[in-house]
Amino acid sequence: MKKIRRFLERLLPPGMDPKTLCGTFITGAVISVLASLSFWLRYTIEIYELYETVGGKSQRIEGRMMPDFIRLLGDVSFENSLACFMILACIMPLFAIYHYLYHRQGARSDYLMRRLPRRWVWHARCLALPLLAGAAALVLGFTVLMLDFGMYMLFTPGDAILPGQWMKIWSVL
Amino acid sequence: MLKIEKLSKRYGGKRALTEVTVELPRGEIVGLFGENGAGKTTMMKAVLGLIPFSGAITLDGETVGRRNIEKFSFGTCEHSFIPNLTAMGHRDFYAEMFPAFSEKRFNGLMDFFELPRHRPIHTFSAGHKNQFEVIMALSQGADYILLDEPFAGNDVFNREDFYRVLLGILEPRETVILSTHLIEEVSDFVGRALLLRHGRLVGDARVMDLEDRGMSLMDYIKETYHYRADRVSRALRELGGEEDEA
Repeated sequence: MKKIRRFLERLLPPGMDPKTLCGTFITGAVISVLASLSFWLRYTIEIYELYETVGGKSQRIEGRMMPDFIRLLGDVSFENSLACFMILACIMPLFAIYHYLYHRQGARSDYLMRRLPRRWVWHARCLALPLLAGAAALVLGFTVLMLDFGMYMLFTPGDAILPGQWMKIWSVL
Repeated sequence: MLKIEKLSKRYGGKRALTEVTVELPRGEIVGLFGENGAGKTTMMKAVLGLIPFSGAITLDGETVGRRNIEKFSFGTCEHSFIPNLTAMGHRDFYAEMFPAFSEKRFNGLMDFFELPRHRPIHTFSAGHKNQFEVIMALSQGADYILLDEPFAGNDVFNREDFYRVLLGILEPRETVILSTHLIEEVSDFVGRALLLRHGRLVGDARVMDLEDRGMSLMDYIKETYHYRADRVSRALRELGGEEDEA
């Protein structure tokens, strides 16, 4: 744990506690994952719609098709089950502004950072973790997208899937 | 040798520095004097590349920039330390960033000023913050140590002790450029005085030369600034006159 902390500290302005940024990222990631479960709610409703009960037996409704994966994911808006990942990916880089301002809080440590022989250190320490966290949010969102898609393809009867699902994802992305 | 040639700086329409030209060899303690707004801080910031300017600033013939900036350190009354970092945290950071950082000097000065090593600097008193700022400037391992009003708010005993320590620890290659209003206090310590007025260099004298002329640093400064000795008596007379009229 100490090693991770030390690693994170080296990616932040000197003296800054990694807790704030990491706490925000973890909270945001948990909320995003929970919000992404709305896909499964929609999926479960739609998969039941494929079947009807006849004489106490469940059977497929002929010609009934599963909605497109991308539709189940939600519109390209805040209803989208992956919208929270996008919001998180946009919020994390804002920490960079806070990191630059940090060097003007209580002192002008920007004077020190600006006269370092390796001047990129200042920018690296202000930008690295916010950008990494933003990228991590995108990767996490993409991973959930792939998992959802995999499950959609795995659990939906093959003849109920409309063709071109993969391409439809990319057309939206 | 630090060479400043035709250094000029404007803030909006206001001239902060006008064609300042000066050469500062290694191994001097230079006092930079001038009233508020004379351009002392601006000059230091220009040397460090913290503000854009016109003119040329070179160290040993090379423009001051990323390649030689480690030869300069800065202690300012604005404070350039990192408030959330402890003294030890600063030591580690400086040691990593500045190859010539002197841990020996850092430890010696920390002991001398009796500063806590494991507390964030923002918890220090104002006086301790100033002392710490100066410690880091002196420990960086720079050839040119720029100190801008470093002891604003410190008591006189601390300041005098510091000047004595400064004289004792400086190596021949080190130059201290000290901006201060406490002229009489530093007159025994500085070897050269630079006088700025309204952004212009109006005086440059070696204290030894002044002594040869039977002049103190304060006399020289008053003479250069055309200080009117009767200023106070005239003001008192005028104020008294107003009272009489009332």
